Amino acid sequence: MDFLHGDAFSLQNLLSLAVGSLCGIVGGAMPGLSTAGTLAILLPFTLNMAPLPAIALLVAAYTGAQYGGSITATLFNTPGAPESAVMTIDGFALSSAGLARKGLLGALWSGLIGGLIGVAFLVFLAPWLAHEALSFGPPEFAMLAVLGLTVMASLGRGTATKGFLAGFFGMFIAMIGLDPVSGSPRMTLGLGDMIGGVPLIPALIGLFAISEALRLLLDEAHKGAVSLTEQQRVGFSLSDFFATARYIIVGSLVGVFIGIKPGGGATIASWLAYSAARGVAPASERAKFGSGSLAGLLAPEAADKATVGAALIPLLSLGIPASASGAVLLGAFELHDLIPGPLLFTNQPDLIRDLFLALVIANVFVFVWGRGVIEALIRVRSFDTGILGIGILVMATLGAYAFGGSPWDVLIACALGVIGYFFQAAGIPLAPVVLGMVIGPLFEINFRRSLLLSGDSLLIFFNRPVACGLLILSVVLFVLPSLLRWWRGRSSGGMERIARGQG
Amino acid sequence: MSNAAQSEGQVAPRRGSSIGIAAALILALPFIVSLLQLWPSQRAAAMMPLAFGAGIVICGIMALVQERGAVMTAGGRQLVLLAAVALCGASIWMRVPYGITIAFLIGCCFLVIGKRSWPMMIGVVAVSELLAYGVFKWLLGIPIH
Repeated sequence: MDFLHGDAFSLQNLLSLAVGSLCGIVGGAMPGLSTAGTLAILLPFTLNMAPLPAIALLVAAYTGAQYGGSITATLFNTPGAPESAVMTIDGFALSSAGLARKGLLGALWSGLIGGLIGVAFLVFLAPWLAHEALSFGPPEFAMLAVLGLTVMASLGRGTATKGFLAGFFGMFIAMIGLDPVSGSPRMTLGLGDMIGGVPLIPALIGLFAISEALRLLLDEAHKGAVSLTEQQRVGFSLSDFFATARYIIVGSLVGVFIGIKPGGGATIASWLAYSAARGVAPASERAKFGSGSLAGLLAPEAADKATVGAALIPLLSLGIPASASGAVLLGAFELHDLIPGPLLFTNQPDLIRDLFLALVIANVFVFVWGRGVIEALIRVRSFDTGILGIGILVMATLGAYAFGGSPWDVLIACALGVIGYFFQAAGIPLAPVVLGMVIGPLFEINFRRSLLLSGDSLLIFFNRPVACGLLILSVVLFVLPSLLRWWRGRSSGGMERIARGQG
Repeated sequence: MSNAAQSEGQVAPRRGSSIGIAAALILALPFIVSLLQLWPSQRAAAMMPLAFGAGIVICGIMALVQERGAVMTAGGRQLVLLAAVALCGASIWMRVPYGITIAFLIGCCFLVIGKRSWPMMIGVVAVSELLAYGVFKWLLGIPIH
């Protein structure tokens, strides 16, 4: 491939990357605005753009938001996104000790390395996975959808029941409209607009942007501004870099291997990276964990950024989003008539190459912006959250309108925004709703096609090795967490009995 | 816990916590009834959504049982704002001009957050109208009515 002559270096693409990464950093640093929410707000602005700059803008925003989230975690003990929660432990301790600048600059370097390692894995693994997926037929895709469904419960921190409730809700509303096989209308309740179904993009805007705006406006705990004390001007030196390099590498690898699994996500990756870095640290460094260890901040940051490239591996090669942000990106691909999956690699090799390059450039832009605007971003936290909420609400309704120029889309976004607010109040995660909306139709059409092929025999899913393997994997992934919980409970019960016996 | 953390699926405060589950169940019911009416003539088309609907009912009831001690009420401010957002969506769908609807919604937001600074409210409304009719309609050509 001719890497240096693609569209990735065109002026429009570079501009998209620059704007996207800056918007991502600011969005990620905004109190209460998640990475997925940032992407949902930016999505309508890509409507009139060519596919590559549009996707590049969103991918850059994704990368930027991951770093932006760490800023508030380090400075104010308030993670801008769930994946940044672990950075409050040592990041805020560093900040309290007057070493915020050192921590934030170190996080920038760590994020750059983590992000590039994630892209490297994406470049080598995604085409291979896509090539393997080309041999998939309807039974394999149906079982792949089943595999995606098993991660519903893990896509949030609520109970598994609530995760499944959200997933079923997403799949259910995705069924509204015309039946994909027979073409007959179903669940339209006699409304003409319902025949077109529930469009994904307005649904995403409602679930993530409008519900977040409502929470910002209604949540007393996040009102008002937070002041910032002057931080000492201690930077991140070369010796600091070499002293923490191994933790950055460990964090990056953890990020790649967790981020590639649908449902794994950056949150789990960053916590595991923290634990892994603590595990490989010598006793003197380990003692600092929890009270201001640079390694304790940089390892999760590297993992966090490495998940961006890793999460794109299943998204690009199989069409399965690994996280809520991935689901928004999937919507962006579909918005621009690009269907992620094995055929994307065959039909659009130039786009894939340029996208890989765009990811590398996005990481560099985040690094450059991050260095330049740390001071300004420190002040973002002092925004009034009420005004921010109103701004998001206005942009979200406009974005939903802009999607198809239809008032129906605004109604869908507003309705799902209210439902999303209630869901969050009930501890029901929103990411499985989106996963359900994406995977539900995929499962239905491939399941029914498989039954048509086999003459209504379910044996087709057991006769084909890949389909059967995916089904077994799904069952294992579904049952394994419960088994592990039972085993841990049994072990801890045994230890207590031993302790009581010794006492 | 941060707002963002909750948005990605972390456990939220228990206030009004059963309402979300009840809302999912209530919303699903008319659609399930319509599917049951479709069942005799279009079994294949109704089968999968009915299965997902059954999933909502089963998981919803299980979640309600788990949350049986939770609060089932919503505050006045919550009701005002949520009703305003729902009304905004419905009004735009019914072709009430976007500019009027969004001005009403912004007014409700200011009422809810307890700020009655007229210049700020007028400024936010003006910016939103400029964005809608200046940028989105005039520049981008989106048919905002």
